Amino acid sequence: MIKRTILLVILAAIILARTSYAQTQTLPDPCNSLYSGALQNTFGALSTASTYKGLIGYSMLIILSVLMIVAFLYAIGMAFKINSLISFSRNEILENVLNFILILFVAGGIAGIDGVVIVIARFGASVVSTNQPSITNTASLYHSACEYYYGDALGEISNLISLAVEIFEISIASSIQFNLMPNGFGVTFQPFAWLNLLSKMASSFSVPIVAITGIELVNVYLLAIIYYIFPLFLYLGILFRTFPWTRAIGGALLGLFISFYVFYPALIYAISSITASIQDSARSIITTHEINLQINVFTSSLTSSIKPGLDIQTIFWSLIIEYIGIIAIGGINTIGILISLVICFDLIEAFGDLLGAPSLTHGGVLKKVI
Amino acid sequence: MQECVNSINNFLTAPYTAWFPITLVAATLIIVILAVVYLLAPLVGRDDIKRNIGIMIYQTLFSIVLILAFGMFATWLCSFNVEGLLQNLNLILVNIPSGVHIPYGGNLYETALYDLYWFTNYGALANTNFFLSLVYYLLNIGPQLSLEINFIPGVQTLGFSAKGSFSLSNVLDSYIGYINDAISWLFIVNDLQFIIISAAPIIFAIFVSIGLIARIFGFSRSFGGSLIALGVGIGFVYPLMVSITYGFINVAYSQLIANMLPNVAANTFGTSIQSALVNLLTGKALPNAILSIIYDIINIAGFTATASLILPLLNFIVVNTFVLDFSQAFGERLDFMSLLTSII
Repeated sequence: MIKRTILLVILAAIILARTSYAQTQTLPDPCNSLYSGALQNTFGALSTASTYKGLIGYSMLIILSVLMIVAFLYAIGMAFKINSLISFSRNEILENVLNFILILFVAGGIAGIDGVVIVIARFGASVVSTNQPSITNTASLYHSACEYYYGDALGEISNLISLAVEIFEISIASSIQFNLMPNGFGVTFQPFAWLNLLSKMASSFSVPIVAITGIELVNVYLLAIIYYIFPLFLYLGILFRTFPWTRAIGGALLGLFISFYVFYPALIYAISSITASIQDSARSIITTHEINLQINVFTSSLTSSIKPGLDIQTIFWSLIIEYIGIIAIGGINTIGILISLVICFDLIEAFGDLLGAPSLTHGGVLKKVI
Repeated sequence: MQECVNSINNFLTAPYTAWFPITLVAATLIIVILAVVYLLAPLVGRDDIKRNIGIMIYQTLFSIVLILAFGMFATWLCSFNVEGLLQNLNLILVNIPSGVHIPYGGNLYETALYDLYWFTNYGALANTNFFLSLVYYLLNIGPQLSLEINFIPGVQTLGFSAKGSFSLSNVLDSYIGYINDAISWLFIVNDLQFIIISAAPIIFAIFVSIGLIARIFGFSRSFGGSLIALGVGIGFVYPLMVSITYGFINVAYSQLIANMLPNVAANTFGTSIQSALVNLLTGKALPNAILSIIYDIINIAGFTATASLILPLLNFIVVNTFVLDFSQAFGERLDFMSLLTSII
């Protein structure tokens, strides 16, 4: 009976193990599923510009129709000598010729966008030595930026967990108590009560770590939204620029596309290359302090209770430096994200000026968003 | 769809708002008066008036063309199968549990409402709200260490004692607190969008209609243009943006959540039979499972926060850009986001 039970348990364990083995085929990394997994297959039509060739054809057809109408208006203007109609038609003909060139440029240069994005990213990254994967196309740039920020966000979460463990250790040490009250009367001695201060200090570090994690995770999914949705703005922008009443909107949409689809990931990648190189040196300093802290917190705490103010200071310093270092590493990335956003919003205004979109010019888009 | 048609048709045909024939009659009258003035102007030697009247006649004729175009556009908008178009682009989530109505062949408003409804009540926002309570319970599970050494057995007040409780909530409570606060605000933002989307057809009908009437008269032409821009922005561009952006988020989320369980299983048991057995026997499976669940839920919370924060912002920016540029082309510059910001 016992043998049968053992055999059954082993069999169940093997079945369970096989089931778990089968389940591990799915990739757990969201960046993989976003840029080279299931999502890429599902939304390939949205992110790869070539699938919008139909739209390019339609927009060219519309331009030709508008050109014919404008030519007709020009003819009427010439026949009835209406100067305003003649000048309006001339302007429109020029604008539509410009749109035609723009569409030709886009149709022929979809791959060029890949090239522009990569050149900007590589130029930014070239100023520092980096161990990040090399960029071959737009998808790999987005993938690389996603991996970097997702990895850092998860690292911050594990920092939070290690913080919890540290507070646990400190709370045990601070609760140690010697009781000398044989008949219910006497003294109790709690030599490490002061460690509660450390516990409170360490708890306060959780707030900025949480904020950094949040910003980095938001950036990961913001990149995905830009990658899949913003190409639509390129084609709608070209389409809208065909008509005189919607020309400004078309310019605005093109400005949004160029700033966020082309420049934002390139800037993020370049800044992450710089911050990655700073992080390595910062991390080694922090590791040294972490070791000091682990040694000091228990071995020196007894002497510190005898000589208060001497070793306590060392422990406090180590703790502060360790967590400020952790926060600074995440903070560098967060600042990088914010700087990239500010630059992109500024670029939107510049493109607004260039493409004649009054909504983006002198509008303080960033101010509105904030 | 019928509601959409009714809301626009009622406005077009209801007796108390029988504006359509009135507008046409008014426009015709204005053209007749302007034509008379146009003919009389050369007789009194005022060619400048003749030129101005000519432009005014063009403007009035253009207004009539716009009214007819609006009628056709509104009818097309209510009958066009946006759901089918977006489904071809994988922007509609159709693989959903029974009990939820999918607007097959639905128009723009039905599709936008469905996408927003799914996101808030069944998708990322609803699930994050549910999972957060799970995280809260997980964080409050933890060992409590208690140690007591007595010098004399039975006498607890003479000796040494130490105790400590370990739970992640000590550190992560603030995190959960922030996410809970954020989720409450995000629900408000999304419910606000429900109101706007539900009102979009009627906003479209009222604003554009009044705008078109106002454009007939010279003194209210710029005001009319601004109203048209606002009506088209909120009544057409906004639902279009919502159906595209939330459709994408719903489909992306369905794939993210589908990976969650296999991910937890992989992290709990490892990647081979041996590692699964070792994890089970050494007891590593439980902490691995807890940590993996925490990581996955925080990941989903990040996804939800991004979608709930960025998408309304993106949609409002695009609508504001459209209204601003379109109003400037048609009438007066109308910056409703700035107005809203000033009021707030």
